[in-house]
Amino acid sequence: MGLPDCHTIREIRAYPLTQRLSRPSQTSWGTYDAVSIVMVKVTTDTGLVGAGESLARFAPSAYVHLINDALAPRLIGRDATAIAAHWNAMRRALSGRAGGVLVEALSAVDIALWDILGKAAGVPIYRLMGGAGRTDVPVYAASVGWADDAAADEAVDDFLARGFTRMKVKIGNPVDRACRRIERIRARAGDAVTLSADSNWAYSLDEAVTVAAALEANGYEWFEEPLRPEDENGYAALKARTTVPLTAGESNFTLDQARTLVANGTLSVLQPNVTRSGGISETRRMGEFAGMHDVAYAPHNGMSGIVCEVASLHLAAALPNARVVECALAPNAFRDGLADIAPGSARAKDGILTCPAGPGLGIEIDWNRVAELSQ
Amino acid sequence: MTPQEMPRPVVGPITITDVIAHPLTQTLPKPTVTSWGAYTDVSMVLVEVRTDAGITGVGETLARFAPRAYAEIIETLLKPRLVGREASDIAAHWNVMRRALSGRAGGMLIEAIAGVDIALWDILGKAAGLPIAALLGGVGRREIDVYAAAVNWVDDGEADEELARYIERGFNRIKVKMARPVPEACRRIERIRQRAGDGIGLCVDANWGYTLDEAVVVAGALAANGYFWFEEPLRPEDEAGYRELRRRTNVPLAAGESNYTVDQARPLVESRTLSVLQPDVARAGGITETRRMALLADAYDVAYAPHIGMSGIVCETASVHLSAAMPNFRVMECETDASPFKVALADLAPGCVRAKNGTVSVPTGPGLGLEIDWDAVARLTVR
Repeated sequence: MGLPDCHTIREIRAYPLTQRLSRPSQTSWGTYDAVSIVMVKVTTDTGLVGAGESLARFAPSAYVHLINDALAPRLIGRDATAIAAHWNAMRRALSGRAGGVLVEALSAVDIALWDILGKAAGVPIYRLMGGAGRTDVPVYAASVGWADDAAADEAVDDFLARGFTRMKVKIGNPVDRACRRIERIRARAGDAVTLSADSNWAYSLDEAVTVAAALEANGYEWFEEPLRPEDENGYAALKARTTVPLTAGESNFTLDQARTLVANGTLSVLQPNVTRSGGISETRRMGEFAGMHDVAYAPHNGMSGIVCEVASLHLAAALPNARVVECALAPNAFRDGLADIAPGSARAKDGILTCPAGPGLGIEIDWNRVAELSQ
Repeated sequence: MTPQEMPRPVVGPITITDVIAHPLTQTLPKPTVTSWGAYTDVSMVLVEVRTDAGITGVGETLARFAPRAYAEIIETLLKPRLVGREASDIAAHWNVMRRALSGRAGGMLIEAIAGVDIALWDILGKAAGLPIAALLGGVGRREIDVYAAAVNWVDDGEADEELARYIERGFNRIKVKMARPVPEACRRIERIRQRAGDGIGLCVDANWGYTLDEAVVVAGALAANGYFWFEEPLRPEDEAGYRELRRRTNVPLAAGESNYTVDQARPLVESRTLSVLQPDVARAGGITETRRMALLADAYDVAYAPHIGMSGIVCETASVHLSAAMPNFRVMECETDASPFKVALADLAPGCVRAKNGTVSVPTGPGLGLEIDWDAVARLTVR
């Protein structure tokens, strides 16, 4: 029995969701007090409904205009299962190099089409991808914030109490304070805990070399986004001057952008966000490309919603080179109560998350709640 | 010197009071067909920046489709970062606007920034009483060379007619659009050269039409027929493909309209893969970033040749100023489509109307040196 011939796309609806954060999120990159996502609902004439999500931290209405005006007209009336064809058609909705808002917008549609394909086939997406046969995925707690020492200590203790054996530490400027923090957290967590550091583009190359030395000395697993993502020469130079593994990838939109630092071995881990980097189709290509170069895949979730988290779990369950998934612990209205599944922060046990086993993404979205948040 | 004798600064404090995005759309008289796609309607966003000094600047955002999405980005994300600030701190604003969204720089955000950036340069020029060309401290060209764009990928008869029309209008450099299939492209390349004669400069634009193997064959025909460049033979992300093509042909390669930032332009410039860099000022971050791209190109002895395409009069005029100023400027695209975005939006006629013997004069008024017809803007605004 094969797939039914056709699930014609009947409707694509996009919802701009915004939440105010209880506590402003502070990273080296900037400060957020409200963040957004866009949820997409794709319906077929066979009655299947797919859910997708776009990374759209700000100006979500712009993404909705783009989806309605430029993407939906290319897909309505087409067979939902021809996902690669739709991806190419959507990418050509605008000219110029691939990237930016367009690729984030099409990510949501792509994820929804995979959800539909899984439902049409009656299997979860991770199985549809013919993957590694994993259902449990290791996760790391994100994150110990770049706040004062006492708050950082408290976060470490909290993560340990909740059973996490891996955690991420945010660092920024000045460098001497970052080095002290790196040492302090290692002392607090003990040697059995796997620690990584994320600096969200904070440093110049010279600064990053100093910070990398502190990370080496304290046995950190990786140094994430030390430099701005466009500075590929800088990444290569840093790689030559440190032994701490470098990671990046959440700033990439396409495989073309990920390719250079993967192919030349600068990155040890590639970290795309599935709601930014072209959905499951393109993120899977990135993950597989990384695998071809013996580079690990570790999904980024950050402030994204439940669809992002679950789609990332499917990819991590399927791709042989998946190492660990980011499990964000801050309260987040885009994860808590938007679907019939608890967020990873509540489900994780001993640093492990189970991938949903139902067809497609394996979750049901509460579309009434989505409508409420999109006021 | 006493305070009375101190030279008064030409540019005093000018505070930005409002940023307004006007999404404009038009239905083309005739659909434009390239290797990249077919267009029946195209759009742009006109950006208006107001100040407390009574000076208003205008800019243009490349927004071929979904212009309301761009307008939303400009008014929701960029405007709050600008209102209340000093208008002349353009580089500072550029950096702040770039950080309005995370991820690698590129895409709609940079196109949106381009519109604002051009408007800020227009304001600065008006405040200083100088055309932007002069403000850029450049080489001081009074007129610039242009090429006619384009002989389209239509049947032979129509292509011959388009070519004859450009020659009759005095253009001595002409762009020819190229696509698949390759044998037909090679025949077209030869045919146009024969009809134009050797006195006319010819170049080709493939709009990402080919694979590497196809491009090598087409490049052979271009070299044999003395074309001066081969533009966008491959998709812009395929930088390894461009390098390989460079190795296998002698025809100069040109590209750049698909780049948003200098970071994206850099690899093919510093490796001398491209002979000509062609940013579109309404896409590539406005005058600030486009100027940086041209400077980078100059540092590597690569020429600068502005792309205009279906953009409007503000894009074209900003490009004229950059062309007048940048030392490595070679030739500017003069799109002859006579669209309302070019002919109806301002009191300045577009290059395709003003061109004489393949050159266009540089406006001498302050800023961009044009006045917008706000009634025309209202007529073209997307409802």
